Amino acid sequence: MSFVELKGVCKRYKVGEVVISAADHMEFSIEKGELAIILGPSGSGKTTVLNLLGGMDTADEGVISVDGSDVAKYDRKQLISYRRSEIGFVFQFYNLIPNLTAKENVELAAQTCSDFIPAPEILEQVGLKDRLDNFPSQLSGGEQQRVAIARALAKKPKLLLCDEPTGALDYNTGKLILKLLQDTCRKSGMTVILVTHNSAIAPMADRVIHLKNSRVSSIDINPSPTPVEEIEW
Amino acid sequence: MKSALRKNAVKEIFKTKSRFLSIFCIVAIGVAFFAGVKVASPDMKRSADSYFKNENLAHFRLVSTMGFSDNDIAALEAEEGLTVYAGYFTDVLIDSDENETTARIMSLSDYEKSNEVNILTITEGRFPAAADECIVDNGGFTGGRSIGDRIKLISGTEEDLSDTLAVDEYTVVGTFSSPMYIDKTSRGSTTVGNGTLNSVIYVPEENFKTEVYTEIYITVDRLKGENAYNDSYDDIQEAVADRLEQIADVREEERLEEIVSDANDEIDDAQKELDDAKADADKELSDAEKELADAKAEIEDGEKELADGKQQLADSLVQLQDSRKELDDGWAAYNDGVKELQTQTENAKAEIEEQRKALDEAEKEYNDGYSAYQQGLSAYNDGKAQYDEALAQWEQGSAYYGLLAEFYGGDMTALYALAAAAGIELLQPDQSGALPPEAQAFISSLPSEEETAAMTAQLEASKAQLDETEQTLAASKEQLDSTEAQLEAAKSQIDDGRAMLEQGERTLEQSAADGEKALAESLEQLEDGERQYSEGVSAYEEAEAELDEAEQTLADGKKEYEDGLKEYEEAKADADKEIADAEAEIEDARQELADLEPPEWYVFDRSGNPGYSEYGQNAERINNIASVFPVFFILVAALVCLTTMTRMVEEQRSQIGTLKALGYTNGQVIYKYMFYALFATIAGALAGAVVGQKLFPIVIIKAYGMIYTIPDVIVPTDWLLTSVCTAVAAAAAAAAVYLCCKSELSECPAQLMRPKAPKAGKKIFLDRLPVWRKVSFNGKVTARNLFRYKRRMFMTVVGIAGCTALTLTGFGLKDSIGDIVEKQFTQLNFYDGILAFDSDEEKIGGVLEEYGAQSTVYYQKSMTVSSGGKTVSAYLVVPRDTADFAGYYLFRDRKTHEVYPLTSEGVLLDEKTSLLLGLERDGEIGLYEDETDVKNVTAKAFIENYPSHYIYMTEELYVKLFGEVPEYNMMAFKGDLDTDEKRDELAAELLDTGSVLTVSYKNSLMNTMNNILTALNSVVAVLIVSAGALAFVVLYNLTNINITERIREIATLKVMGFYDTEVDGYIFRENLLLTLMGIAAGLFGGTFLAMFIIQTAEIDLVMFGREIKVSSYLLSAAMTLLFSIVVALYMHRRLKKIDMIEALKSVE
Repeated sequence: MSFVELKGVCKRYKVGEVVISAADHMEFSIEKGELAIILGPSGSGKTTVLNLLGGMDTADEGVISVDGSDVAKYDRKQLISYRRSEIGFVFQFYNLIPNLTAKENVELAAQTCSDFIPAPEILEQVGLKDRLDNFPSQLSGGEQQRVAIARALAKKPKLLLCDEPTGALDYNTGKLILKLLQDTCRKSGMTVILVTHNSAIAPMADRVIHLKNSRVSSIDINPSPTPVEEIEW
Repeated sequence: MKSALRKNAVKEIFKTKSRFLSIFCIVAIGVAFFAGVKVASPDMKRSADSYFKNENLAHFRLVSTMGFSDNDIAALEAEEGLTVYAGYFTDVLIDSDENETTARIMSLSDYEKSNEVNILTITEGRFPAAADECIVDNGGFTGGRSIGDRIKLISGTEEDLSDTLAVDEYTVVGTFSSPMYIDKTSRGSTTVGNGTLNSVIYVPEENFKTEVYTEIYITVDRLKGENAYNDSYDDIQEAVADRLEQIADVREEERLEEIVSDANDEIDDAQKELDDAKADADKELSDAEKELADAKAEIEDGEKELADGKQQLADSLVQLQDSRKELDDGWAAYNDGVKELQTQTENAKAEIEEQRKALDEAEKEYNDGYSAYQQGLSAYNDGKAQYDEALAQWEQGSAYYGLLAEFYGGDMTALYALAAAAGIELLQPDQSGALPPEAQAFISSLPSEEETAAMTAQLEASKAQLDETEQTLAASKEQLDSTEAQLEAAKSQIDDGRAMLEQGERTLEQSAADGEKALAESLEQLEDGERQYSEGVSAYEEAEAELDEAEQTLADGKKEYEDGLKEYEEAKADADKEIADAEAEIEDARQELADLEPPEWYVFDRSGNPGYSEYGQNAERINNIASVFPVFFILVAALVCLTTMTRMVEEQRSQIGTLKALGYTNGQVIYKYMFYALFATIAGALAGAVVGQKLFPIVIIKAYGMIYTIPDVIVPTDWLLTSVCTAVAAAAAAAAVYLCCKSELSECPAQLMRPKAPKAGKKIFLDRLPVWRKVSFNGKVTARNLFRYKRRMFMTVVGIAGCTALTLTGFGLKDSIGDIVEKQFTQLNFYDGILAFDSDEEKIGGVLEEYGAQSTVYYQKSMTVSSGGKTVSAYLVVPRDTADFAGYYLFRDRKTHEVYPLTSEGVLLDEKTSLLLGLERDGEIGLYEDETDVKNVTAKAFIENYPSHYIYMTEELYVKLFGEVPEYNMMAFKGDLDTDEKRDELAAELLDTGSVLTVSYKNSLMNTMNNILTALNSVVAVLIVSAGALAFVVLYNLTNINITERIREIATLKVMGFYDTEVDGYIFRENLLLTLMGIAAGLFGGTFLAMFIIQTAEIDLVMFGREIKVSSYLLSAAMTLLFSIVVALYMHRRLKKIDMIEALKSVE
C-alpha cells in the first residue's frame, strides 16, 4: 500500500440550492519519500485535496489513507492530533505570527509536540542561522517562507503539505524555496506534496497529479526529476 | 447613489450582525442613560408641578399672630391677580394611652367638593358629612388610626379646646392626600406637644369657633402659568411675596386699631358682668348659710332620739337574758325527769323478769315430778294386772285339783264335774254301777292321784306368794297416791305465782305511762317558753337594726351638713377669688390692651410646605448626578463605538481599494461606512433616547415616591434632547468614519489592495529584563501581543476601567448611603432612646431606673450657625455632665477616629456643617436664634455625624455666652431594652409622668432613616445595572474586535493543530490580562469618581459616608470579571467555529 492513498474521495459543498462538487471520486496514491505535485487550474479541486489531506476538512465519501490510517474517518479531536503531529503546512502567505521572532515562530509549532527539532537547528538548516531573533516584518518574503518551512519541519511531520509556496514570491526566491523543499525531500526522505497551478515546475517532482474539474485527469510518474536549478519558467 | 453600493452597505450590516448590534447597543445604552438621567430631574419637577397644578396648591400661605379679620381678607382680595381663600387651623394633641401625638386640625370649607385650593384627594373612605366626622392624612400620619376609629382631641396649650372647636371627638371617615404634604416622612413642625406635627386632620369648617380666620391661602394668577421649581417661578414668587409683605405691614397696624377699640368695649362689658355676678354671688351665699343652720338643728334632735332608743334596747336585752336563764333551768329539770323515769321502769322490769324466771324453774320441776309419777303409776298398773292374772290362774288350778282330790276321795260326782269342766259328757254309770268305758278313758287321762296331791301342795305355796305381791302392790299404790297429792299442791303454787307476776307487770306499765305523760306536759311548757324567747330576741334585733339605721341616717345627715358647710366655705372662697381674679383679669386686660403690639403676619411660600423644597433639592441632586455620571458613561460608550468603526474601516481596506480602483469616488466609497455607522448610531441613539427618557425617570420618580407623594408620573419624551443626542451621536460617528476613511483613501488603490504591512513585531522592554527568559512561552506571546496592539490595549483597558469605575461608583454611592444609619447608631450614638421633658427630672430618672436604664441629661435647641455669609440650621446641644454624655455620644474624627474632648474653649461641630460653611478648624462661627443677637464662638473640631447638624458645647461655655444655665430638656437613655414590648411599656410609663413630651427609640429612628435612604438606593441600583449592562456590551465588543482582527492568526494556529483550549488560551490570556488591568484602573479611577459623585449627590441635611467598602471593590471587580468570563464562554464557541481555510486565503 502506498504511503498516501486516495480512493473514491468525494467532497461536495452546498451553496444555496446548488451542490458544487469539489472532489469527484478522486483516486491517486503517493509513495513514501516522494515529492508529489498536484497540478491544476483554479477551481480544479487542488485546494480541496490539500484540505482533506491536511485534516482541515472531511471527505463526504471515500478513503484517505495516510501511513495506513484512514484520515477520512477521523473525528474532530483525532484530526487535531493528526494535524499536530503528522502534518507540516506551508502557506502561500507564510502565515507567520508577526509578533514573534523567527525562532519563536518555530518554537510555537515545536512546543505542540514532544519530539521536535530545536528551533535554532532547523532554522540553520533552512539557512537562517543569523536571523533567529528577527521578526517576520524584518525578513524578506523568501526568508519568511523559509521560517514557515522551518516551522513545519520542526515538528518532524510525516507529510509536508505546501500550498502555492512560491505564489507570493519573485522568481529567484521562489526557486530557492522550491530547492529547499526538494532538498528536504531528498535528504530527509520526507514525503512532500506541493499544490500549484504552475505547470512549469512539474519536472522537479517524482509524481505529478493533474486535476481537472474536480477529478484526477492524469498522473505522471517521473523516474528522474529535474533538479530545481535547471528548471526555467 | 448606485444601488449596488446600497445593497453592499445593507449586506454588510447583515454580514456583521454582532458588530452592528454591538454599536447599536452601546450607543443605545449610552444615550438611554444620558438622556434618561438628564430628563429625570426635569421630569421629577414636572410630575410634582402637574400634581400641584391639578390640586390647585396655594402659592402662598399666610398666618398671623392674631388671625385675619374680614378687613384683612378684603385688603388682600383688592390686590390684582390674587385669589384668597381663608380658613382655619389649630394645632392640638390627640388623646391617647400611648405616645402623645400632635395634630393640625384644618377646616374643610365644602366637604362635598373638598376645597377649592389645596384640593384633597380621598384615598380611602369619603369626605365628612357630619359635624363629628373627620378625614385623616394617609401618609403614615394617621396616628395609627384607621377609618371608623374615634379620635379625641385635647388642647395642647393652656387654652380650652372648646374655645376653638365645637366638637372634640371625631369619627374617621376617610383618608386623604394633600398637595401640601408630599413628604411622607414629615408633616412639619408645630407649637404644641413635642413640636413635631404627627398628623393632619380635616374637619368641617363649621366646627371652628374662632372669630377670625387663622390662615389664608393665596393663589397667584401669574404663577399659574409657571412651573414649580423653575427660576422664573421663583422670581415671580419673590416679587409677589414682597408685595404681600407690604400689604401685611399696612394691615398689621390697622388691625391693631380695630382690636383695641373692640377690646375696650369688651372690657367694659366684662366689668358690668362682673358687678352683676358679684351681687348674685352674695345673695346665693347668704341663702346657703341659712339652709346650713336649719340642717344643724335637725341633726341635734335626731341625736337625742337616738340616745333614748339605745337605752330601751339595753333594758330589753337584760330581760331577754333572764328569761333565757329560766328556760335553761326548765330544760335541765325536764331532762332529769326523763332520765329518772327510765331508771325506775327498768328496775321494775328486771324484778318481774327475775320472778318469771323462778316460776319457770318451778314449773319445770313440777313437770319432771309429774312425769315420774306417771311412770310409777303405769308400773303399778302393770304389776296389778300381773297379779290378777296370776290369781286367776291359781284359782283355776286350785278348783281343778280340788275336784280331782274329791274324785280320788271317791266322790263320783266330782268326776262328772271334771268332765263337764273339760267339756265331756259322760254317761251316767249303768244300773250296775259299772262305769261306762268312756268314763274309764277319761279317768285315765286325769292326773294321777299323786300328781294331784303334789299340785295341791304347790298351789298352796303360790297362794302365799300371791298374797305377798298383793301387799307390795297395795303399798306402792299408797305411795303413788301421796305423790299425786304433792304434785297437785305444787301445781297450784305455780299457778298462784303466775297470777302474781301478771299483776306486777300491769302495775309497772301503768306507772310508766303515768310518768311519760307528766314529762310530755312539761316539754310542752318548755317549748312554749322557747318560742316566746326567740320572739323576744328577734324583736330586740329589729329594734337594734332600726336604731343603727337611724344612727347612719344621722351620720349621713351630719356629713352632708359638713360637706355643705365646706362647699359653702369653698364656694365663698372661690367666689371671692373668682371675683378677685375677674377684677384682676379685667385689670390685666386693660393693661394688656395698653401694651398691645400690632399683629405680625407671616408670609410663607410653598417652601413652607414640608418636603416641597427638599423634593426640589432631590431633583437638583439627580441633576447633579446627571451632569457627571452619564457624561462619563457616554464617553466610554463613544470610545468603544468609535474604535469599532475604525476597526471596520481598516478591515475593509482592500475592498476600499477595489472600489476605488473601479473608479468610485471617495464619497461613494465612504458612503457604505457612513451608512453603516449612521444607521447603527442613529437607530441606537433614537431607541436609547426614547426608552431611556421613559425608563430612567420612571424608575427614579418611583424611587422618590417612597418618600414623596407624587401621584402623577409625567415623563414626556423630550424630542429636542432626543434629536440633539441623535445628532451628536451621528455627527461623532460620521466624523470618526470620515477621518478613518480619509486616511485610508489617501493611499492609492494598488496599495490599498495589498495587505497593509503588518505592524512590525518588536522587542518590548520586557525582553531586555533578565526575567524574560523565565517567562513561559505563552507568557511571552501574550506580553508581546499586549504591547504590540497598544491602541487596542489602551482602548480595552479604558473601556473596562470605565465600566468598572461606573459600577464602583454605583456601589460606592450605595455604601456611603447605606452605611450611615449603621454607623450613626452603632458607632457614634450609644443610646437606646431619647426623650424630651419639661419638668420633674427625678421622677423620669426614677422610671428609667426601674427599667434598669441609665440616662444623661442635656439641652437641645435649634439654632442658626453662620460663617462667611453662609448659614446652616443646626441643633445646639449642651450636655449637663460632659463625661457622662460621652457614654452616649462619641465625638470622633471620621477618618482618623481620633476622639475629641468637649471643652469650654470652643464648640464641636459636625463635619457636614463645617463643609457647608467652608469652615477650617479653630475658625469662628456665629450662633444665633435671632439675627440681632449673634454669639461668636470657636469651632474646635469637626466630628463624624451623618444626619442633621449638631453643635456641642459645654455648660460652662453656654453660661459664658448666654448668661444663664440652659433649661435642660432632653435625656438620652440606654439599658436592657431589647424587646418592643419593653420599650412600649417604658415609653407609656414615661409619658404617664406628664413631664415627658416625646420618647423616641433608636430602632424607630433607624427605620425612618433607612426608609428615606432606600429611595436613593434604588437610584443607585439603576446606576449599577446600567454600568453593568454597558460593561457587558463593551467587553463583548472588544473581544469581538480582537477575534475578528486576528482571525487569520487563529486559523493558522488551528491548522497547526492547536487544541481548542490552547487557542482559547492564546486569545483569552490577553483578554484576561487586559480585563484585570482595566479593573485595576477602574477601581482606582472609580474611587475618585465615586467620591466626586457622592459629594455632588449629597443633600444638605445629611452627610453621606465617604467610605467605599472593600466588598464594593471586590463586587465591582467580580462583576466585570464575570462579564468577561461570560463573554469568553460565548467567544469560545465562536473560536471553535472559525474556519481554518481562512488561513489559506490571501490577506484581504
